[in-house]
Amino acid sequence: MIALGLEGSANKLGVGLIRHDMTTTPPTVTILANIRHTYHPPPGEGFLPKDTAQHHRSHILQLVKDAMAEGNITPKDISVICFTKGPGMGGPLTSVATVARTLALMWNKELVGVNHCVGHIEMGRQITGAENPVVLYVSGGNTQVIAYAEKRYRIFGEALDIAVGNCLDRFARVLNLPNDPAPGYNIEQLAKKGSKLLDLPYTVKGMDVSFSGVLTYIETNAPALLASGEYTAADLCFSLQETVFAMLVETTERAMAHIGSREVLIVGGVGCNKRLQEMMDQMASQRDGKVFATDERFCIDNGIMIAQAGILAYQTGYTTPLEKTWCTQRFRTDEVFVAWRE
Amino acid sequence: MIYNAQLIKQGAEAKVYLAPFCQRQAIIKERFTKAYRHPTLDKKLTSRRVVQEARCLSRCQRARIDTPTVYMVDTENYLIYMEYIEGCSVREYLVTPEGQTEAAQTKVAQDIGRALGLMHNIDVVHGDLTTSNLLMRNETGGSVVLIDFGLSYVSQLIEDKAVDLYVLERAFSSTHPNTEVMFEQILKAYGESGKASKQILKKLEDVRMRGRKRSMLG
Amino acid sequence: MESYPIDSLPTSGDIHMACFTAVKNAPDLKEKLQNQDKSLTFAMVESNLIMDVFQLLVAATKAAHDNKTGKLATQTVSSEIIYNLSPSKNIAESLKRFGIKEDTTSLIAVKIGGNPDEIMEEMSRTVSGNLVSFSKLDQERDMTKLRQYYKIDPKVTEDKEILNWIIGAIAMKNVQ
Repeated sequence: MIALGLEGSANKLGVGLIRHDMTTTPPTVTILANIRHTYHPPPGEGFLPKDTAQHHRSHILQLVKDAMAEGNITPKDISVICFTKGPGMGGPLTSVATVARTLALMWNKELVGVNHCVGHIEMGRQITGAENPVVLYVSGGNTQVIAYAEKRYRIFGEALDIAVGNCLDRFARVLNLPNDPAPGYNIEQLAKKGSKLLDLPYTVKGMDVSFSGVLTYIETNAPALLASGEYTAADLCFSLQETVFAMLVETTERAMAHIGSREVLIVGGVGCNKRLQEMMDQMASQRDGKVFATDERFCIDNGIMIAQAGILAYQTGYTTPLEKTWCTQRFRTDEVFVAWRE
Repeated sequence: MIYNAQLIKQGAEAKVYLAPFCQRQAIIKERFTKAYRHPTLDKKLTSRRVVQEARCLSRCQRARIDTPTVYMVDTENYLIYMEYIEGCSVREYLVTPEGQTEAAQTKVAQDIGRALGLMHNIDVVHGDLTTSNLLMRNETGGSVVLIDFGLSYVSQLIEDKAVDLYVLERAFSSTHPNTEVMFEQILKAYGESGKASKQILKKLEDVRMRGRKRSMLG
Repeated sequence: MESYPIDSLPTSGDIHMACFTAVKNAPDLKEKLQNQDKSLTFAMVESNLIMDVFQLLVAATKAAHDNKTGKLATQTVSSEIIYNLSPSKNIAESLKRFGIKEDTTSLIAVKIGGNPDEIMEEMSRTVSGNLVSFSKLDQERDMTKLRQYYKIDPKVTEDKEILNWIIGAIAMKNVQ
C-alpha cells in the first residue's frame, strides 16, 4: 500500500511517498520519497499567505513529478492521496488541496484529509519508535504538549498566545537574520556564541506557556542593549533560547509527571533545535526517561508525515469524501479520532 | 539533607517531607533545581516560586480559607515549612463506604464549593485542583482543607478561575466515575459563595465546549 | 527552664527558654540592654504577647537560620528573636513592642545553644523574679495588644486559629 502525501500549510511545500508492506505485522514501512521546497521571504520579513500560496502553486507539480521519479512510482501504484486539511494558512492550504483533489479525480484515487499536527506526531513515532510518549509539538504556528489517551491526542498544555517558533522568527527579524535556511536555525547558530544571560519574562501557568511577553520585552529592549554594547546579538539569542526552551521543558515535564510517562517525543520545526533537544534530554535523564527527536528531514514540515498519518487512517477504512475535502485554518489536534491506536 | 525527615511525596518539581519542626510534625516542601535550566534562571525561578506558593497560602489564611499555615520560608534552600494536617484526601474518602453515601458527598461538595468560591474571591488560582489536593481535617470531623499550592498564582481573570474549576471537573470525572451530581453540588455552593461566580460559571461552559482552549491558528 | 532542639538546624544547639513572673528589675535589665551590656547573653521577651511556646520556637528557629547564613536584620541573635516575633519590619518598633519595658513584670528569657545548666544559672542570676512553668503563660496574655499588633481579623476567635494567624504573620514577614 502506497500513499502520496502533500503538505503546504505554511511556507514549506512538501511531497512524500510512503509504502506500508501489509504482508508483515506490523507493516514494514519504507520511505520512497520525501522532498521539499521552501519559500524564503527576504531578510526581515515574514511570509505572507498570498505569496506563499503562489510559491506552492508554481512548484507543486514539479515536486510531485520529482517525488514519483525518485520513488520510481507510477500513478497506478498509489492507493491513496493524503493532503493537509489544517491547521495552517488558508491560501497555501487550499492551493495544495486543489492539487490533491485534481490528482485524485485524474487517477481515480481516494483522498484522506490529514491534521497537520497529527502528521507530525505519527511521523515522529514511526521514525523514533517511541511507544507512548508525551509529545512536544513546537513550530512556527504551534506550541502544544500532547499525550495520547482513549483514541485522541489530548492537549495538556499549549501556548496561550503566539507559538514559540513565531517568537523566535520574529526576533530573528529584529536582528535582520536571513530567512534561509530558517530564521530559527540562524538564531540557534548565533546563540552558540552567546553566554551572557539577560533576565527575560518567564510565563508558565500550570501546563500552559505564554511567549508574547518575552518577545515584546526583547524586541523593545534589544536595540538599546546592542547599541550600548552591554549585550551582543549572540547573547540575546542565547538568552531568548534559554528562557523559552526552559518554559517548554518545564511544561513537558509536568505532563510527564501527570500521566506517568518516561518518554518525550519532540516534533515540529523548532524540534530540530539541538539546544532544545539537549535541555529536554537533561530533564528526561533526571527522571530516568528518554527523549526522541528527529532530524530536519522529518521535524520540519514535509509531505511524508502527511502520507504516514493519512495511510494509518486509510488502513482503518477512513477516507475523506470529495465534498468534505475543504481546508480549515483552525483544526485542533484533539478533534481527530485516532482509530489506528489502541 | 533534612534531618529526621520522611519523604512522603516526590513530584516533578518538589519533594514533600514529614519532619519534626519546633516540637510539631510539619510538612517540608523542597523545590529542587533543574539541571536543564541556566543556573541564574533556575535560581531566580525556583526562589520566586517558593515565595509565590507561600504567598498564596498566606493570602488564603488571611481570608480564613482553611489551608496549611506557613511556619517558615527558607528561600536559600527553597524550602517551605508548613502545618501538617492529619486527615485523608477527598480522593481516598470517596472510595470509603461512608464517602459513597449521598449525604456525605453533599456535605463534602458544599465544603469544597464554598472554599473554592472564597479562594477565587481573593484572586488566588490554585492551578492544580484534584481530589488529592483536597484534604479532610480529622480534628474538625472532616472539614475540607486546600493543599499543594505549588502551581498557584494570583489572577483576577475570569478565564483563569474557570479553567481552575475545569481542571477539577476533569479530575473528578477521570478519577471518580458517576460523581456528576457531586460536581454539580460543588458548583452550586461555589455559585453561592463567590463574588463573580455567575460570570465564572458561564465561562466554565465555554471552557468545556472548546475542551479547555481556543483553536490555535496554524 | 525548657530546652528544645532545632530539628532543621541540629548543629546550632538547643533553644533554651525560661518564664519569669513578678520581675522586679526590669528597669535595670532594660538599661543593660540599651548599653549593649555584654553580660546579657539571652533575649528577653514580653510575656503578654506570647500566645504559645510554638510562637517563640518559630521566632528563635528563624533567628538561628538567619544567623547561620549571616542574614540577621538586627545586631545579635537575641535581638533577632524579638524582632522575628513581630510582624512589622520596623526594627525599633518591633524591639520596643516585643522586648521588655521598664514596667515589665513578666518575661521570657530565650537563648540558643550552650550548656543548659549554665544558662539556667545565668538567667536566674540576671532576672529577679519567680521562675514559673510555661503553663502559666495563658494568664499573662494581653489579647487586645496581640490582636492589634498582629492585625488579627476580628472574626478569628479560637485560640488555635489565632496562633496560626500569628505564626503565618511571623513566617511571611520577610517573604517578598
